[in-house]
Amino acid sequence: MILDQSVTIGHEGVSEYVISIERRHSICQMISTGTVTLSPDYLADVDPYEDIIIQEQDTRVFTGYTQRQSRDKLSGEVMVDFADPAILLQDYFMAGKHRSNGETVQTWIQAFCSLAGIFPVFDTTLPITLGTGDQATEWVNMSLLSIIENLISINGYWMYSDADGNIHFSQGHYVPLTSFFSTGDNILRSERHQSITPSRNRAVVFGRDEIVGEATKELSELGDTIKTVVIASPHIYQKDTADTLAEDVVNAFSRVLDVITLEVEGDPGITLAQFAAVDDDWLGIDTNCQITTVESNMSKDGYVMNVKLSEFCPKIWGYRDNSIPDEGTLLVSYNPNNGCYRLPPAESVWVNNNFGLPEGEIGANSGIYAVEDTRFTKVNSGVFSKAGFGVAWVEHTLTDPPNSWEDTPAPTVADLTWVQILKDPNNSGIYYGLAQWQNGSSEWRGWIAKTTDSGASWTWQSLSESFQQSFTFAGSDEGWTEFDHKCEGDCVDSWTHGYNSTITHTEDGTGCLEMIGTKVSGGYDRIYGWINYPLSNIMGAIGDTFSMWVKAPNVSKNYLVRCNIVYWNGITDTANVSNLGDTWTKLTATVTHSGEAIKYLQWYIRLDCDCGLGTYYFYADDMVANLTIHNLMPIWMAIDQTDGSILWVTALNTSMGRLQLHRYNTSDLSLNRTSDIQDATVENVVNKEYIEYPATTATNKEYVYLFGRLNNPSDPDTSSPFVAGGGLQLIWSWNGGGAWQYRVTGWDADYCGAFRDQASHLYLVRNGGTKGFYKKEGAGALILKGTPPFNTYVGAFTASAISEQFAIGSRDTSSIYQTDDDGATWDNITSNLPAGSFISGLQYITEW
Amino acid sequence: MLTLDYSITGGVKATEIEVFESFGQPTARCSIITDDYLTTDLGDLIDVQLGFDETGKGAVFKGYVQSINSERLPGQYVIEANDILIRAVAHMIVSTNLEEPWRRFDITMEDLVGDLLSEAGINNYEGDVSTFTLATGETPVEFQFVFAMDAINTVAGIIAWHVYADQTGKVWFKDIKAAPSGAPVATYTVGAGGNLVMITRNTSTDNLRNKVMVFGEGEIASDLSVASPYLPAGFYKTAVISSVLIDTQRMSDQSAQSNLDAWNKLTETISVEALGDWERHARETVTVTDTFTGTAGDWFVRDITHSFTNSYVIRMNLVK
Repeated sequence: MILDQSVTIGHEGVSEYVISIERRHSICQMISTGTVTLSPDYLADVDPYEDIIIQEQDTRVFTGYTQRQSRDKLSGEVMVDFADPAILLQDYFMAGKHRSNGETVQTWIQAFCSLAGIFPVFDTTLPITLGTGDQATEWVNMSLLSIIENLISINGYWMYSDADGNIHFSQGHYVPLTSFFSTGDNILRSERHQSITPSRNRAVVFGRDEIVGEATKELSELGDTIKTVVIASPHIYQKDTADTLAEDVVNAFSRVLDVITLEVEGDPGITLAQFAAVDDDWLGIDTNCQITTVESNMSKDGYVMNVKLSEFCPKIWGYRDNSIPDEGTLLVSYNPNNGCYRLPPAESVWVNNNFGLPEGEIGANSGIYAVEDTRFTKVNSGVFSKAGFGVAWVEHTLTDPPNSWEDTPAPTVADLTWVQILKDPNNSGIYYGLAQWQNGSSEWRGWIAKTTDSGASWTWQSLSESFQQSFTFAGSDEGWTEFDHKCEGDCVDSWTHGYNSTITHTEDGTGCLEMIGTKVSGGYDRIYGWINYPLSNIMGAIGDTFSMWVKAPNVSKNYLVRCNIVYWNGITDTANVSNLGDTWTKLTATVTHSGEAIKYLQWYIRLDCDCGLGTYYFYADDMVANLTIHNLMPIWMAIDQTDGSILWVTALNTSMGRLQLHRYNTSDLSLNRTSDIQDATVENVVNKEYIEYPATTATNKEYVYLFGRLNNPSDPDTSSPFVAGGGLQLIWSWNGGGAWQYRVTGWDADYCGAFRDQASHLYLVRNGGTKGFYKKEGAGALILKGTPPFNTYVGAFTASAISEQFAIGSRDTSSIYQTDDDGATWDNITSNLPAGSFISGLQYITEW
Repeated sequence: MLTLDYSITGGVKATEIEVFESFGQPTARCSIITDDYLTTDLGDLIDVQLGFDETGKGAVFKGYVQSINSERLPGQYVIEANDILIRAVAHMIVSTNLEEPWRRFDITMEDLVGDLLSEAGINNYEGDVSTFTLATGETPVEFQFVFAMDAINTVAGIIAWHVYADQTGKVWFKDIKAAPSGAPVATYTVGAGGNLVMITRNTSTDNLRNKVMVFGEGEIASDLSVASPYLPAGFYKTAVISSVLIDTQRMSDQSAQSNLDAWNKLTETISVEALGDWERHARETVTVTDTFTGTAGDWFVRDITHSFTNSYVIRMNLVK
C-alpha cells in the first residue's frame, strides 16, 4: 500500500520509507507529538531537532522537530519521534530570576517565545496584567514552557500549534464550523462519556496575601452536594480578579462532562480546536462542539483518526464557554442593574456574563441595555465584544468620529454615548454602532459606525452629512380647450404626461415649458404641474425659497400663479403671485417650512378671465436643493427585513423638534431618504413620555408613546409591517414610513414590547388593559393568543429566529418567561437571576 | 434451576450488573450495562435488587449515578454509580478564611464523623460510641483543603474504626477491623451439598506489623511491639501513625494497641466464588470450609462482587 503522505526530515524526503504516521494533538497538552515509523531500509541517522514536515493527502499537517530515533531489533523498523516547536519552550531552561513589572501576559509570552526562537501568533490580545513591585510575579530557574503553561492556565488562555508550526495564543478560541461527523458518513465508531465526577459547583480562589474569591453555581445533577475546586496563584493580587476567576471557574466546571469520542475516516482538515458538527442518532447527539483531541494514524491499515470533543482540561474555563450553542436554544438577558447574563442551552441556571466589562459601566441605566448578541455589546464608554461566552469582553479601538459640524472642541470617541450595536443579519462580521454626543452648546450630534471585519476596523458616518437633491417635472392641465405644449431642444426631459408638449429653450437658456391655450369663458381653467421630490418624503431645509419663472403675455389680470409645498400629512404651505405681464417674471414663493416631510412642490397657473388664446411660458429654476440634516439625536436603528441594503435609523431632529426616520444604504451609509414622524422633544425621548401623534391634525389625534424603536422594518410595497413604536397606541406603516396608516387603538399601557414579523405574522405584547400576547397574520386582526404570566409591564420581548420560542421579561422585576406554543403556556425561566433589577433586553442567540 | 430476578430504579433492563463493596474502599460501586437507560440521568439515586424468583431478591446497592457511557459498538450503555459516601469523597472542605478553617472543639469521634458527613450533605448516619473525645484542650480539630472522606478516615484511623455505607444508603461508624468477628452469617463449603464454585487460598506476611509507633500532639507518643511467630526473632515490621488529633496519651496508647491487634497477624486470604446471594456484603463474617486448600473457620469479607449476567454469582476476597 502506498500511503498518501509526504515526510521530510532535515529537508530530505523520506516518504518512500514511511510505514506509518501517528500524530497526537490535544488542547490539554502543551505540545503536539507523534511518531513516524520508517522501513528497515532507512539507514540514515536522525538527530534531535532536525526539521520535520509531514503532509497527509497533499495537505501539510505538521511542522516541528525530531526528538529521538529508535530501531526495533526484530523488525528493523525505525521510529522517529517528533514534537511541535513548543518543544523549544520546554527545553529552554531560564536560569536566574525574572520579575514582572506591570506588563501584560502577552508581553511576557512574547518575550519567552523570543528567547526560545519562536514567533508566536496572538489570535487575540492577552490583556491580563501581571503585578509590579511587591505584587510582581517572579520566575526562578524554570523552563519557559512551565512558565507559559502557568500563565495561560491561570488566565484561561489558549496555546496550540498549527500545521505550519506556528504557536498560537488567544483568549478564548473561536473558529468557524469546519468539520462534520455523521453516522453513515465518516464516523467509524463512537462513544459518549457523560459524568459528574469532574463537575464542581463551587470555586475558591486564593491569591496573594489574604485575597480570596469565591463563587458557587447550582448544578442539578449534583443535588445538594457541594464540590469545590480550589485555585491558588501568586499572580492574583486583587480581590476582583480572584472573584472573577472564581466565577469563571465555577461557570466552567458546573456542567456535566460530556465527552464524545469518535473514530473517523482520516482527513487532514480535522485539526485541533476547530468546531465540528456531530450527528449521531444513537448517541443522541446532533450538536456542534469543539475538537479537543486529534489522534491521527496513517498506515497500511488505513487512515483513521480518533477525535475527542468537549473534554475538560486545565484550560477548561478559558475554552469551555466557546462551545457553539444549540441554535435557538440560548437566551441572553441584559439586566442593567446586574449586567449581562446568559442561559446556556437546555439549562436552567443563568450565568453571569460580565467578565471583562469595566466596573461602573454596568450600573443602573448606564449599562448594557442595547445589544444584538453576546458577540458585541456596548457600555457607555465604548464598544465591546467577546470571542466566546467564557472569555472576557474586549473593548474595541475606534478612531474619533468626523467633526462634520466643526464643533469646538471636536468630538472624540471617548466622549460618545453608545446607543446601540446592531448586527447585520445578512452579512457575517458586519456590525453597526449608533452613537450620540452633545457639543459645548448642548446641540445633539449623531454617528453611525460600521465594521465589516467583526470590529477590527470601523468607519464613521455622521448623521447630518449634507447632500444635494435634484427635482423632476411632472404636470397636467385642466380645462384648456386648445393647447399646444411646445418645447424644443435639450430641456428638462421629465415632462412625462404624454401631452403634445415640447420643451424649448428660453432666452435664459433654461429649460422651459411653453403652453399655448385658449381660455373658455366661464369659470376658470388652469394648467398646473408639480415637482416631485425624487425620493419622496424628504425632510430637510430647502433653502429659503422656491422660484419659478413665468411669462404670461396676454394676461393682465386675474392671472394667478400659486406655489404650494405639500406635505405627506396633507398640510400645504402656500405662496401666491398674481397679475403678471408679458415679461419674464421670477415668481419667488417664499414658504415658511413647517418642518413636515415634503411630498411634492406644486405650482399652477389659473385663469378665470376670458382671455382668449394666449401663450404662456414657465419654467422652474433652483431645481437643486441643498438638504442638511442637523442637530440629530440618534435613537435606534434596524436593518430592513426584506431589503438588507437599507438601514433605518430613528432620530430626533432637535432643531425642529421632530422625530424622524432616516433611511441609509448599508453599503456606504449614504442617506437616501428621511421621513418625518411627529413632534417630539428630547425629554419625550429620554423620559419616554407620551406624545401626540399626529402632531398637527385634529383627526387621528391620539396619544402614542413613540420613542423610536424600530422592529422588523420593511420597505414599501411589501406585506410586512413597519412597526415604529408602541404605547397607548401602536402605529406602523405599510409603506416604509411614508405614512403611518395603521393603528391599533385602545392600548393603554406605555410599552408594547418588541415586535416580531415571522412569516408575515406580527407578534406583540400588550401591557395595559387586557394584558396579552397577540398575533396578527398579514393584514388580519390582532388575535389574543395568551396572557403574559406576570402582573408587571413588559420590559423586553424577543423571539427566536428559527424556533417557535418567545421570551418576555418584566420591566419591574427580574422575571423572564418563555413560551413555545404561541403564548398559550409560559415557563418561568427566571431561575437565579438577581432580584431587584429589571429586564431591559433579551436576545436569542443563533449564530457564533 | 433458579431463575434470575432483579430490579433497577426506573425499570432499566440490564444485560449485566456488577456491584462491588470493599472494606478498603470508601464507597460501593455499581456498574450496569443496558441497551436503554430510559430516563436515568446523572445524579439520580438508584436502587438495585438482585436475586432469584424462587428465593426472592433484595437490595444490594443504593447510590447515585456518576456517569453514563454510550458505546456505539457494540451498542450498549454503561451506567456507573457510587453509594452515598461519594459525596464525602467529592466534598473538599475549604474555608475562605484561612484564619478560621473548619474546626471543632471537645467533640466525640462519632459526633465529629457525623459533622464531617453533614458537611458533605450526608445526614443518614449512626455512629457507635467510641468513648474518645477530641480537642478537649485549646487546640481544635481543624480541616482545610481536605476531602471530607479523607478527614473522616483520618479520624476513624486513629482508633482503627471504620466508616461505610450499607446497601440502604445509611452510613455507619463502627469498630470494625479486617478480621472475622461475631457469629458468621453464612457458611460456604464445597462438595455435593456445598455452595462454593471456586476457591483459592494465600498466606503471606505482607501486611503483618508487629510494631506500632504513634505520634500525637506535642510530646504525646506510644511505642508498642510484640514478637511475631511468622517473622525472624527480633525482627519487627513497623507501622507509624501520626496525627495532631491524638491529643491525649490514652488516645495514643489506645491507637497503638488497636492497630497492633489489627495488623500483627499473618495475612491469610482466600478468594471464593459462590452462588449469588443478595444478603452478603463486605465486612461480614462467614465460615468457609475446604479441605483441598486447607481453608476452615470464620473469615472476614474484605470485598465482595455481585456479578449478575446470565447467572448470578458472588466473588469474595476474605481474610482471617
